[in-house]
Amino acid sequence: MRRLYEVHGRALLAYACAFLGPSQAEDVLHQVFLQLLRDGGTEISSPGYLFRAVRNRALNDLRGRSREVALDGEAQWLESPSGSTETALALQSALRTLPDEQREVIVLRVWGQMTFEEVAAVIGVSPNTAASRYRYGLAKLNEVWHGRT
Amino acid sequence: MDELETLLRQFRPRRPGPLPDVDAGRGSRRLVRVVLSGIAAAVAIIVGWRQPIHDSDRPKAAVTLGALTPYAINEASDLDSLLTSTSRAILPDVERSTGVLHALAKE
Repeated sequence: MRRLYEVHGRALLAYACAFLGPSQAEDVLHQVFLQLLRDGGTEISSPGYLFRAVRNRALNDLRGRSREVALDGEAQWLESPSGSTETALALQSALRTLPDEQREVIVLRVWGQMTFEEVAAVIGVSPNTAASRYRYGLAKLNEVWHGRT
Repeated sequence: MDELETLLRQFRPRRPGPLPDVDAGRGSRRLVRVVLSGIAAAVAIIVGWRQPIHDSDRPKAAVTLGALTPYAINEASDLDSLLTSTSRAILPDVERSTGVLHALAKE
């Protein structure tokens, strides 16, 4: 289980950050793994199971404390290739302008390195819908990213 | 669009902090179990020493509701055996020939 945490921890944290602020996202990630450890190392058939578990818990958490998310929204959870905090925060900010359903697909596809079929299985839509959300999300992100000054 | 995708992939999510110790909760539960077992054993020993005392003078049960509640929550599976052993130690012995219940039965 701890090996899975090492391997998928970054992508899972990014996915939780699609819904929550970074510190809440990390709490959710820990809760998911601690539960799995308490359950005696539940057999994980695919990483998709972990992403679904994080999604469910993040959405539950979000319902409970949506007001706090905004306060934590600007903490850094991405690392830019140049090491620039400013660039990383700018991209996070651009991602925040997307609707949740587009943002989560982008995170799963880009940092979860999933196919549209895998993305669709995690979020419970058809692969076509997942692909469509990705395209729309990317187009909007492109506008925001290049429109920033 | 592909350009943006390539750009995005150059960013990396940060590594989450280490998992908290999953055994932390178990440790405290183990401590509670040990303490409660100690209390139960002490009660049994004290009651055993005071056995010659008449049933009417017997102290009331030392296992309180307050002590049993956390045990029932944390160790529900062991509660039955604790209650059985404790009740044997602190309840009147109805089979003892000199016991008050035996005398009452004769009347």
